[in-house]
Amino acid sequence: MPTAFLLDAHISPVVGELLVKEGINAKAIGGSSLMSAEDEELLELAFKEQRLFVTYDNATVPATVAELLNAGLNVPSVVYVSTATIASNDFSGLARALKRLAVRIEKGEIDPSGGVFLEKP
Amino acid sequence: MIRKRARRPRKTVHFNARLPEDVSNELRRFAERRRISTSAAAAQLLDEALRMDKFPGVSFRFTAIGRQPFVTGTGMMVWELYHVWLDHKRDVQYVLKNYLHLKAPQVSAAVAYAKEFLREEPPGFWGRRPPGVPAVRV
Repeated sequence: MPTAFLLDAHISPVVGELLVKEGINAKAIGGSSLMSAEDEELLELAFKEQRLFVTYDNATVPATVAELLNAGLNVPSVVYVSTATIASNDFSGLARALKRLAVRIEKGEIDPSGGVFLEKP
Repeated sequence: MIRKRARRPRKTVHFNARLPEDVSNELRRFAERRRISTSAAAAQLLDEALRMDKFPGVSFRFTAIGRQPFVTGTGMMVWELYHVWLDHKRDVQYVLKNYLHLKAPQVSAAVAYAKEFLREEPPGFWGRRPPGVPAVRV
């Protein structure tokens, strides 16, 4: 199954547009009707649509994932990004990294099921 | 340069107030739901109301890491938009260019609030690898 992404609200929709241009299924929360949704709703949506949830929020999102798991609920795979690795204004850098990640997941080289943290190449 | 201040317990003082009965009952229910004392709930809500008055456009929500300030109408915590602004060379117009759905007062509210309460930013937010999550190089 092709890798698909759901981009957290703080990620510019420009990243989604760049990924879509590359033929990757990506949906941005920013500017969409889901913009004011809670993290739980976004994670639920990502799981339902089998998307990897991409975020720079490395505090609230992991805690929400833990809460959902403790409650026996399903959680999606999460891609955590650090601004030290890819600044949030480096849209092409993030899009390139996600594209490479998608390729490696599809090749079976990376298992994102427990979440992944993107590091500098 | 903005420096984070160390987290210190806040000094408290005794304060008596008369409340309408229905407000008092609602406060007690709020405290019970959150498993905190009525006094702590009153202090928290009063603190938040004063902050919202000082920083229009900021409101509070419960999250998995406790109550956090959000930028009204964006679904983003103040800290998220603050870091986006930092990454955009502290330029509101540059942020707006890349986030067409945001408005200048929303970014300004986040920045102003974050600067004043930076010590309250959740540790590890916006950068540290969450515990137990494997790092990958792509």
